[in-house]
Amino acid sequence: MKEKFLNTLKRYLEPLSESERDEILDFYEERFATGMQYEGKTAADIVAELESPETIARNVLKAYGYTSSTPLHQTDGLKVWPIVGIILFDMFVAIWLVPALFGIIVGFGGAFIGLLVGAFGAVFVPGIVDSIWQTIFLLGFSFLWLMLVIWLYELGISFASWLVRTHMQVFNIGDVDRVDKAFRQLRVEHWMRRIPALRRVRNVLALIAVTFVMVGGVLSVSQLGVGAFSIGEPLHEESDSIDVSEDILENRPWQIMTDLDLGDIRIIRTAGTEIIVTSHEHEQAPVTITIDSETRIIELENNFSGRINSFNFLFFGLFQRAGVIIEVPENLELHDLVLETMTGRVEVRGFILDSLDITVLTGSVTLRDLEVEGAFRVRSTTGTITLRQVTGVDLDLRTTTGSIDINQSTFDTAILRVTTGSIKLKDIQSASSPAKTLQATTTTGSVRLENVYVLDLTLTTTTGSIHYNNADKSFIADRIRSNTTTGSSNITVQERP
Amino acid sequence: MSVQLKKGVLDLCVLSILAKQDTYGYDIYQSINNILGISESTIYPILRKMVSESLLETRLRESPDGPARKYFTMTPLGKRRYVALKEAWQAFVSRVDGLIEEEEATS
Repeated sequence: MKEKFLNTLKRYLEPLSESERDEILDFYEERFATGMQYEGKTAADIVAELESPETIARNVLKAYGYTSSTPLHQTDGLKVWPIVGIILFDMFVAIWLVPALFGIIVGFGGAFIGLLVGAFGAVFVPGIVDSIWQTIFLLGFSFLWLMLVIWLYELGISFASWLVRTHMQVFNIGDVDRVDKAFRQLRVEHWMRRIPALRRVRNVLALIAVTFVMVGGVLSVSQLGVGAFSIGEPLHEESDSIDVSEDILENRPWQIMTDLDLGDIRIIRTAGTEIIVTSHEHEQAPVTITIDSETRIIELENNFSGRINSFNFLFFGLFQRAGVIIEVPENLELHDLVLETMTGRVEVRGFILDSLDITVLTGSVTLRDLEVEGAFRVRSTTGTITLRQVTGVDLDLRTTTGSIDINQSTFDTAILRVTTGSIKLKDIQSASSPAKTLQATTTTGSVRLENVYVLDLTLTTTTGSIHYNNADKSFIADRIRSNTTTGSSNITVQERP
Repeated sequence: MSVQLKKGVLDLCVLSILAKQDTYGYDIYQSINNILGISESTIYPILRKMVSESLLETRLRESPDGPARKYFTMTPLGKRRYVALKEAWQAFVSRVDGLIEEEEATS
């Protein structure tokens, strides 16, 4: 009788927080105890004396500021909307978030073991590192990494706990508090609270790690230079030049081809009648410059013979940049540019070309003031592609992690592909002479077009937004196909019906 | 009685009961119920609200012939609130009395 009364009341008081609910239930618990112990009543007597649980709940909820106009209902049954919500969440979010989180934690944990093994391996296997300081740096780094792994683990546990609790609440099963407690046991933070020594160990380790990273990093760099590269020493400078005044007079075009493992490439206009090639290079990656006046081809090549370990990669590029500058006389015609560099930026400005073909692994590509009559192809793996005042016919630009940014340029057709990065176009053609087609595709990034006059557009992004607006409202596109999966789409340009 | 007035009076009732002696929730309810005729479910949230406003404190007190009960005690803040409410009430009552006497005198 008493249990039933209290349980019913408890269910009606569901909107309250747990502590608020317990306070009220305490009163009634006491009420039963008093009545039965001191006044010799039975539980049934007391229930008869009291108001119904529903009336009590209504008064209490009102007093606590819950003004519900809907009649109270017992929450014995399942609510529909939370169930629909959680099922949708499971189907569309949890289904990838859970394995992704798990994968990230395991992956980062694995990387920690790799780092640690690497650091210790470096101590025992001669020749891997050049100095004990590198080992110390790696050890410190791996401990910092471990902290990151632990933090990720905590994050994963919190998320899992939340997920399980939410499911239990929605489906009204099991003892949520017990599960919550069980999850708390899994948390590192929990054990640190229980065993203060653990926290001290962690703090000491963190201090050691930071010290190791700083001391090891600074000393190994100052002692050895960065890995194989000496940062104290200047880069070597190599230079070569050829007089091309006859070719200028005869309108004979030249070509430039590069195949570099390492180094920036800059091609610029200059006054005079000489092609001047200047290379700033590392000892490990000297550039071979071949200038052939018969075939009128400039070829640049280098091979990176240094040891590639994580140390080189971590630092080099931060300090000095190797690179080649090619100065071409203003009046000399250039035919084809075929530029390839593994690590370096490419910059070309001020030419009329037959074709352009640029391949970069890590580095950005900047093209300014160019006119290309034939093939126009740029490939970058991790770098941004930027075009300013470029006139091309068929553009084909692709980058994996970087964005594409085109301004004040013209083309007939353009294919732009990005995986993680945005695509931005501004001031392309005009309403009276629009371009034919534009295909812009990105996976995680937005597509933003402003004053872009193209007849046939295909704009695709998976998790970004699409924005397309033209100042000249008289322009009507033939066809605009836009598709975004989780982003917003804002297109103000008219499409021909 | 307006809701607002009733609420103020309820606070005053609870405080004046506790001004005499510390006691438990059901006892407070019974004392008030004898005068105002209100339900338990109105009193309990008021007690809880006054605890959260630090006007009252609770402590468990053992009883020789039953389980321990939660007793309510006034805090110094509660005492001050009690004095203020009491003065406001007395001023209010004397003004109402004044009106009634005036009305009786004229009739």
